[in-house]
Amino acid sequence: MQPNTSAAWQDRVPGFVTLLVISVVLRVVLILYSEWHDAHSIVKYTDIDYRVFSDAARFILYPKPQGDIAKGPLAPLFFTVGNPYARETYRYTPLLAILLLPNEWLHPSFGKYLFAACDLINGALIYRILMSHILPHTKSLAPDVSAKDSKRFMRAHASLLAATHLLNPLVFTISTRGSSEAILCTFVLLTLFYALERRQNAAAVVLGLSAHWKIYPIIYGVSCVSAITSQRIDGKGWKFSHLLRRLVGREAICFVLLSAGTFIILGAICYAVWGYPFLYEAYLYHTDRRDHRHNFSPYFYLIYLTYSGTSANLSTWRQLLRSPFTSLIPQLTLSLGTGLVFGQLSAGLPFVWFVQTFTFVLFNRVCTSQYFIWYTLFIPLLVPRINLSWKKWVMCGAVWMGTQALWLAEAYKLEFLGDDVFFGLWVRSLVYVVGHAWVLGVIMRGYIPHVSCNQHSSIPE
Amino acid sequence: MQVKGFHSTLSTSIPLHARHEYAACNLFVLHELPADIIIDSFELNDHGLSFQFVGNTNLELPMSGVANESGWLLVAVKPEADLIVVDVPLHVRYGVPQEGHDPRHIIQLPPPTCFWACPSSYKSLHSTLPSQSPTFHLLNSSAQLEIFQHTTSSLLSFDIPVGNINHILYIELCTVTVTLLAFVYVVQHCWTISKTLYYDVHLKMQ
Repeated sequence: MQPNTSAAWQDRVPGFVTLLVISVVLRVVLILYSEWHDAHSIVKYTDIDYRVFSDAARFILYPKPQGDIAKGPLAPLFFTVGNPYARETYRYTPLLAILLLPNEWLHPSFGKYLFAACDLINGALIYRILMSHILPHTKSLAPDVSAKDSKRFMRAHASLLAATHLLNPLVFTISTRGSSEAILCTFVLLTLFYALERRQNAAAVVLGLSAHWKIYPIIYGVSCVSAITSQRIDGKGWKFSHLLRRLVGREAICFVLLSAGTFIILGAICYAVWGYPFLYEAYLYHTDRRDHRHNFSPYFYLIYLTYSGTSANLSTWRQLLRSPFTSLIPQLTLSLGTGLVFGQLSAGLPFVWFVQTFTFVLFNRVCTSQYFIWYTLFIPLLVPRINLSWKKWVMCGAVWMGTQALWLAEAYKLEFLGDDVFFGLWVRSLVYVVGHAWVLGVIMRGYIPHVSCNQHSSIPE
Repeated sequence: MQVKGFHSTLSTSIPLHARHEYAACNLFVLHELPADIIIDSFELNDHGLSFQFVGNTNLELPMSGVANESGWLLVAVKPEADLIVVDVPLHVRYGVPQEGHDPRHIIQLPPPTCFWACPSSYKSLHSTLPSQSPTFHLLNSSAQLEIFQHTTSSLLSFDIPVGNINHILYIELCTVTVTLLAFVYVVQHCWTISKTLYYDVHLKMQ
């Protein structure tokens, strides 16, 4: 999609600071509205997860009367720290509950303001990455623009693209309703920023923090290491030491050790305080979760129908059909494989991470609307390098949203009207998989990679 | 109770014409809830209810994953008017899948037991709670009880859709097939773009 290069277009786009101010006002108004709405309506604006986080924070400060305190091996001996996992369905790192402690002593909406602030930081990071690493290398973007106007053009373009995130209803609704996804997005974008800046140590540490927050960012480590090991062997010949250095390079090993070390240290500290409940709820639960209630993934119906049954009496091929590996193998093959291959071929980290995340979400056995933000985050960074007609863009948007709307309409009938639409809902889940796979294919076909000749750089762009 | 879908509100109306006679007493509503019903204690706290729930507190399991045992919800009510309405939000677990065309599961809710719990000086009161109800710390064990006879209404019954086990094989085959087709489609695109990137890298290196 080639932008209009006329000066009038650039002048109509507000500056990034103006955009930030608009975003701040929008979010503050929505948070204030949420307080009024929740006080006057049975159907709440605030996400149920926000209540979960807030309760968990309260339980840390004021343990439940039944004496549910932290029971880790090194739990504080001289003062009591509560157990956030006493709150049912709290399945996150305890650091999130600690971040929301001001909900108790400052204001109940503190967490929402924190998530909204992360939204704004994410917008700023997107703007910065576009200005520093994407737009300067996208020469075909504005061939007719003079060098004098190019900076102004880039600023306008970056503001416009950052606005697609900051003013995206999905984004600001999620954060003002009290979902914590914005925090993870900040960590992911920070990791990407440091990686593109070639500050590998910082990237590794923030990646470790991201993976502690939620496991899935581990997949980005594959592409980072792959990009590091794609350094060109210099003209001194194929010495064994050079080959070894490439395969087990110092930079790659440092990255892995720093990243894994950060993850392990954070996990160890949390385990030391909160013990096995932390390990189970934050990580182990997710390895064997069976989400039987309807969600976008078509596997919900299979899980529901076979919830209490045993597969032992079934034939081998039936057991195979029910096995979690039917989704896990495609999911891991694509989310890790694309990181490995595209990272090696210097496809550009924003694109690689987009494809990795999209495939991870698409083939996951559970999928809710919040998961989409994990990859829509990267779209503003990809747009300058995607060559699609506006009709194709409209079609992608229509299919992406339309398949979700189709599913949501049926889910409403099931959940709130009690209609027998399990089968129809499952069919629409299949339509969701097909539609979103098609959208991914279109975006991949339209992508124009920027391949750098300078393979000595640690993580090429 | 108007029941549609998996989320509803159980509303109990309690007329208190003679509440002045029980000025020293506490008013309670006791609900016996089948295992299909989910009570979210945190939600009840948000509604400002004073209550105690004895039963399965897991908010996420389907009927296949819980024991078929009733839960008991005791709600303390302030008798501040001649007519009190007690609203309890309810959620329903997914039922055990069945065979047949459009299978549905019928859930029956016994009527609530509304009663005064009075000090032991009220010696004329001899009502007792259902024998299978548990002990509640919210209720003084020595209290004399007076159960409201006129709130004993007809059994509440509603039905919810359940999964159809006749679909299982079809669901297994189609889910896996579509997943694999989507996988092959994406792999094909990854292959194409990889070839492009590979030639681009080699071209520029030359």
